[in-house]
Amino acid sequence: MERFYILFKRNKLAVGSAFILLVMVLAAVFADWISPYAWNDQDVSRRLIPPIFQKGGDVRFLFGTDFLGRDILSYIIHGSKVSLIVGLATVVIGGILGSVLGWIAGYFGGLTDRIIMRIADIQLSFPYILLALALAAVVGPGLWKLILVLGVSSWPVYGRIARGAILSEKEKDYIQSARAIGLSSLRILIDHAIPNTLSPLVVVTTLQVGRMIIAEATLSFLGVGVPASVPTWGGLLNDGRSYLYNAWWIATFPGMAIMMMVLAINIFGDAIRDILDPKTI
Amino acid sequence: MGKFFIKRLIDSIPVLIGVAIIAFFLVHLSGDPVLLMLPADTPPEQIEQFRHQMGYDRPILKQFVDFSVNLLTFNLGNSIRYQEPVVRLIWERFWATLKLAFVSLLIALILGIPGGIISAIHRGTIKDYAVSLIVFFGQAIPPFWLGLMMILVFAVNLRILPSSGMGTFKQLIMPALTVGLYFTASIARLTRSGILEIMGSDYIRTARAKGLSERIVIYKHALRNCLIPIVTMTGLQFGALLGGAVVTETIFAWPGIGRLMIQALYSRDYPLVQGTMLFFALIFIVVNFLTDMLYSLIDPRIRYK
Repeated sequence: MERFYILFKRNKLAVGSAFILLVMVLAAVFADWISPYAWNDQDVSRRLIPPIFQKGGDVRFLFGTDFLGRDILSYIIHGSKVSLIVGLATVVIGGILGSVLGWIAGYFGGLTDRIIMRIADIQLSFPYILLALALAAVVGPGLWKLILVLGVSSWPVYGRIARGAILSEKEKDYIQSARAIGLSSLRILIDHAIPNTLSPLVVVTTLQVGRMIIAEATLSFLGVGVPASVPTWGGLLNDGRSYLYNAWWIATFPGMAIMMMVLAINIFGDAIRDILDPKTI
Repeated sequence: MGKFFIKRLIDSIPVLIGVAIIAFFLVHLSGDPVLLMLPADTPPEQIEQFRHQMGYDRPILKQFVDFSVNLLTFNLGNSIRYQEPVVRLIWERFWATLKLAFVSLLIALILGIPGGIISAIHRGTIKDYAVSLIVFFGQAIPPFWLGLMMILVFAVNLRILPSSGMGTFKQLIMPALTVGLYFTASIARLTRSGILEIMGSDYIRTARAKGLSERIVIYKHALRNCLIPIVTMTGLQFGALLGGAVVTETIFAWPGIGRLMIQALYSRDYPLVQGTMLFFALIFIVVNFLTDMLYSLIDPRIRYK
């Protein structure tokens, strides 16, 4: 653990992206304090004001306003909450579900393994977005419903990796010895086998967070994501789509926000992977 | 070889069955499929009439049996909105989506593989970092936002490309780039790591020792062995490509299956939604199957596992 920390500090990308992520998280947590307006503060008399650096801009609305007079900057700050919550929660749900199923399938093998992997295969037969899309549309709007849908749709990714990792651990000597001295399977799994499978899972998890954020944005963009009462970057992008010709900023800034967040997370995840990789010293 | 083929074919069957089950139960997930499809203020008699018409008043098992039997005869029911057989609607738009997916894939390969090679060869230099930067951005940019930005720049401001429709090459570029760019990043990364791993191998050293030029070493020897993971990934990612096509088709009004599915979702035309989902899954299973076949051709060792 300490070694990890030392390596981490050495890697400039890891530190840089971690810093940016920290800023984003703080901005989301303290959104109500730092944001100039409420996200749904509407005032039609100040609609479609361009961002500050363009002619007609207003110093009160740095990124401009949308067709309802909402401040884009405030919307983006509040929207980051949703993106982060969805990104993290779906990964936790999908990750735990997938890992547990994968570990069980890999360690106990046999029929359990075949059944679990069949279900994974079937689920993986549908393009992920389409599956999530159809489920979300059928299940109806709701933040936690969406998180559940995205989480359940994504478990096979973790499942496969957990299974693969456990399969290779299973054959190793220390596991055989543990069995020989009579430890129960549960104890072996929890104390010995599973901790050694965590490394690839951590890597995949960090990469999945970015994907989930984009998935939520995509679904919200299509109108089947979070309900209208929740601020979401994808939703604002959808609104901005009708105004591409006369109010380009409505669609541009939320997209940049998504990109920045996912970029920071991905760079961070890559750096973590490099550090955890035993091949690098 | 034939045995492998048959085995894989048989393996696909449970998956197909599972897919059919999921598609069937999709409309029953929220309780009453009829309530899902009709507007909230429909009078009860009409609801019952509709229920009977669509066959949802029969026992579930019978519904599923009929559904499966219909599937085998390629009958996916009729679309509520269009009042036409779902299969016909899908078939009309299939080629549009296929075209888009194919060109996107081509773009991804043309940009990704050389990009990965350059990045690997010039590892640690500016070229490597430049490619890596593009790759990072490529995976962070939401595809639908990229599409909108391209419309903004090329259609709205520069006015050199049309923002919708299908038919001319100009109309194809932006949608294809939107779908393809995300994939390019994955391919570039895979190529890079693949080449890096191979370059240290013994047979590469032998080739160099023989005095072969670096170019031949790379293209004739290294690349060929690197192709396997790329092919596998391409096959697997094809599904993601199709998924990406869905949103892109909506943005660019590309008349494909993806857009059909979205419209079906909006108009609560669930027979059509089921049909398109099944179709996507079918394509995906077929592509996976073909990928496996291709994989076994490239690497004969697979056949004997």
